[in-house]
Amino acid sequence: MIQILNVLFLLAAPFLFTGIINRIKAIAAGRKGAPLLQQYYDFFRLMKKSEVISTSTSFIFKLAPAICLASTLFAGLFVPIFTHRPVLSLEGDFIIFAYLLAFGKFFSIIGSLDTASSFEGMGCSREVTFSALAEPGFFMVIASLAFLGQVTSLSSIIANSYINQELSGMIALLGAFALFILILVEGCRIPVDDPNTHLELTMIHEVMILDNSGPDLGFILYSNALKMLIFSSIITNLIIPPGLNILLSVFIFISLTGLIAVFTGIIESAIARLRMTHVPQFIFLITSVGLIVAACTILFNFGELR
Amino acid sequence: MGNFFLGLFLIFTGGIVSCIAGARVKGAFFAVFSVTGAILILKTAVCVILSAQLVENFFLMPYPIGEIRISWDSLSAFFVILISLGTIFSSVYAAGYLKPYATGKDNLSSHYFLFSILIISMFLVVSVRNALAFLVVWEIMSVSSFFLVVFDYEKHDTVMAGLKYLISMHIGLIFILMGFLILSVKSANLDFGSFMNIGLSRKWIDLIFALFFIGFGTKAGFVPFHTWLPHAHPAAPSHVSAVMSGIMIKTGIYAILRTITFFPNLPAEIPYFFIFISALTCLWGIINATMQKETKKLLAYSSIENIGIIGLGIGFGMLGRLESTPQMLLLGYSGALAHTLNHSFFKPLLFFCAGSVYRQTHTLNMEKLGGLIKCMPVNSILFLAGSVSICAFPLFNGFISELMIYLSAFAAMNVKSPAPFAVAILSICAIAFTGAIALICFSKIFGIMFLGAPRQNFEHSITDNSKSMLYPQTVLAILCLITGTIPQLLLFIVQPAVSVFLSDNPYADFSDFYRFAVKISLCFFGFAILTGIIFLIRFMFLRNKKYAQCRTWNCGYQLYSPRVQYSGSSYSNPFLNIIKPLIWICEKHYYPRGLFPKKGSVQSDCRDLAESYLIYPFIHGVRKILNIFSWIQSGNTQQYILYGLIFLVLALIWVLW
Repeated sequence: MIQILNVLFLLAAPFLFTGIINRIKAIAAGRKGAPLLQQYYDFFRLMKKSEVISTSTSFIFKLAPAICLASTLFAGLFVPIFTHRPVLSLEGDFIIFAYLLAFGKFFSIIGSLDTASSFEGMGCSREVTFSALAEPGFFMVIASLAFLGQVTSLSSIIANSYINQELSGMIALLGAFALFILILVEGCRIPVDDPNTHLELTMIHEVMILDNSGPDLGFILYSNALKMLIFSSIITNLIIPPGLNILLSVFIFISLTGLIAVFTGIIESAIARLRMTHVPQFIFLITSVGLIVAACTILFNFGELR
Repeated sequence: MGNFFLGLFLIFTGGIVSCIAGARVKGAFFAVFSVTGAILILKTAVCVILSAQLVENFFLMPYPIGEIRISWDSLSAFFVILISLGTIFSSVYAAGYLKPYATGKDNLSSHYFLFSILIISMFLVVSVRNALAFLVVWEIMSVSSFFLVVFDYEKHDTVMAGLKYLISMHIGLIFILMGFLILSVKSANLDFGSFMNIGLSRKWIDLIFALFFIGFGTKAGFVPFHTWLPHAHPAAPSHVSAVMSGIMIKTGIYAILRTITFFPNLPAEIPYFFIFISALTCLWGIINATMQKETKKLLAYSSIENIGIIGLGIGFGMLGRLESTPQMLLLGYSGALAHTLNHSFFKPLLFFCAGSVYRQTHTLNMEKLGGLIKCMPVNSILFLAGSVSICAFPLFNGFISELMIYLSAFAAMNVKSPAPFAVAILSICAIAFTGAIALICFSKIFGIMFLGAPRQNFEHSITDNSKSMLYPQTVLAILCLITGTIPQLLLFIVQPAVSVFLSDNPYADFSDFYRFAVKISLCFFGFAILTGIIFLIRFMFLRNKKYAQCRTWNCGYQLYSPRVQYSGSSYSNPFLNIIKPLIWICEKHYYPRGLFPKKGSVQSDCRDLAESYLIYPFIHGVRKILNIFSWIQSGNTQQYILYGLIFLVLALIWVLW
């Protein structure tokens, strides 16, 4: 039952998440902003359209967005939503999760390299570099949490490091902080990337999809929003203690997800975009927080702190 | 075992027959004989590994050698399977690849003959159990592969690369020789079986292990002994690079694994050292790979990376034995072996594809290529399959073996001491980072070579190659897909081979992992179905709609030229800026000068720091020391006669004393 709810949430909620972020940004800028559901209208409008395809592309260009969406969606099935019971769960599944996301990224990159555009090549090279820098940090955080709870599946890692003991709580909070930076990186948000930028030279993710149109563009926008929602769900479940009443935990989950969206919106409005050369330093923050998490885990398991 | 010798004989006959045959049919004859021989051996080896029996043969040799034992336990049989599969694919591919050389190349006969010798020696390396015989076949393997590398001996660079390879192999050989000398003196026997229970002290084990690690690590390509790989692989013809990278460097892995079986109780420092070197190897390999412009050089560095991943598996296997954590031991060794097998599928596939591109375009420089997917569609799809496998993405085989190694690192969570704990977390990050950089590396090589618009116009039309080149590639790609989606198949072969390291309980708890593998393949099928559904949705929405074609968006700029595309070096540049201290990009600028400037140019070249700052200074130092004695060999005849005279006088004095 809860699994069906999970899938429905994954299918329906992503654009609401980005809708909230956009609304907050608009309010902070003194505008009224688009309706919360605007992105759904955009999505369905895109789906109804036909496509414009560049003459220099091959079939890879047409395959890429669908594969990217499929892998992101499938990765989402491993993530616990509402309660700590995801649709799929097996030992070491967070590795499958991470590699599925990478698989999607690989296809989105070769899809845009297929257009033979210099701008899209530039976007690809930036995107792939930044996500490569984020990877060790993500693994360090999740692996440390896994070692902390002595389990290897994503859902049980998250369930076993809930915030009630003071120390494991601190570790999980640090992990949540690292994952929040990851949302900004993977979701291409300020301060890493600006989704609303208008100059091709400064774009990262947006420049990769210049040539996509119609359903393909819809797929890409959808999978990007979905990715942010997935990471936010991981954070949310790190905070919710397991074993709550289902209704209560659904309520807490939804409100926390909303809060994360609001927070992302506030951050986007409050700080400026980093210079491209400073972005790696920001991304290394994930790794450094990850190192602290790893050190804490070792101390927690073996040190005086036990 | 009889079939094994018959198979070797067939392969040897293939080599001889192809010497005699006419230039156009040499390749066909060689392929027929070696494929038959290899299938015969493959069949026997599969029987041996599935029945988990030990097959032995003895040969009595004259005095200094003594009795030579040729034996297959399941570890040997595993590597025999790997070699015979590689032989089958590469000899078929060679027939197609070398076809254009049928006229105008005089060393084709010797090439085929030495190819058969290389194959036979690799089979023997993993089968003999006698130190002296092992050294002999090991040396035959190195020398025959050297001659295969210098196939294009007219080119100066090729010969230099070959010499570099030959010298590295011989320096490695010295270390192996010393290791075996110590062992055989201590045990007073040359047979591998006698090395096991000598009861050496910890210092001796450390020393012997270090000697073997340097010797065999040079073959396998562990950092910092990897420097021959990026030179030899691009120089060799593609089928030879495929054999060398897919199989031959794995004999180094085999030898290291065999060394580990000599010492049931390894000292604690060895696993940690091994894990450290392996993590360094995979990061170093992949970082350097990302910076390369030459396709085969990039693939060579990526082989180094994969050797590092295999090494991490072996390291965790050893650590599991040390900490008596059976799961870690089991998953570590099986991950290493599975990755060895997987790498021998996807790396030859990639080398074959790169060779096919070279055959058509006559360039290895990816900056000159582009848009090949339109004229070589089959080859491009196969290269994509190889790239996806090597990046360890789900559905393809690289994933499952890396997952095993990850899980073996995770098994450290049950250990009750902090050191393995910390090492495991850091190694997990190292593998993850390697994987992420592999994404950069292979999206670069695939994107730049095969996608986009052609960067250069070729005089001739470019098409997919002949069937004898495409078939081996296709079969390898299918193997990658099958072993990726149904990993249980892989486990059937890996499980008996791992039992060599589990002397106490041969079939410890593999059933759990079988169940896990079934779950994974179900997951992958689910993923495939989901992808299918999304394609269906896309198809439904786009049905009955015409799509418009237009040029790629260029910010409104009208005069489009394919040369404005992002090049490979610019693609990897953001990453280069971050890891600059680890890479030495040697740039030469030729500026346009004068009132009427002519063409200027920039030349950039990626150097390996380990080679420039570690290997070369060492070699220069050695040369400086040896130069002190250079006056002895002056080339002056009178001086040599004087030496003879001095020797005679000394001998006379000695006799008369």
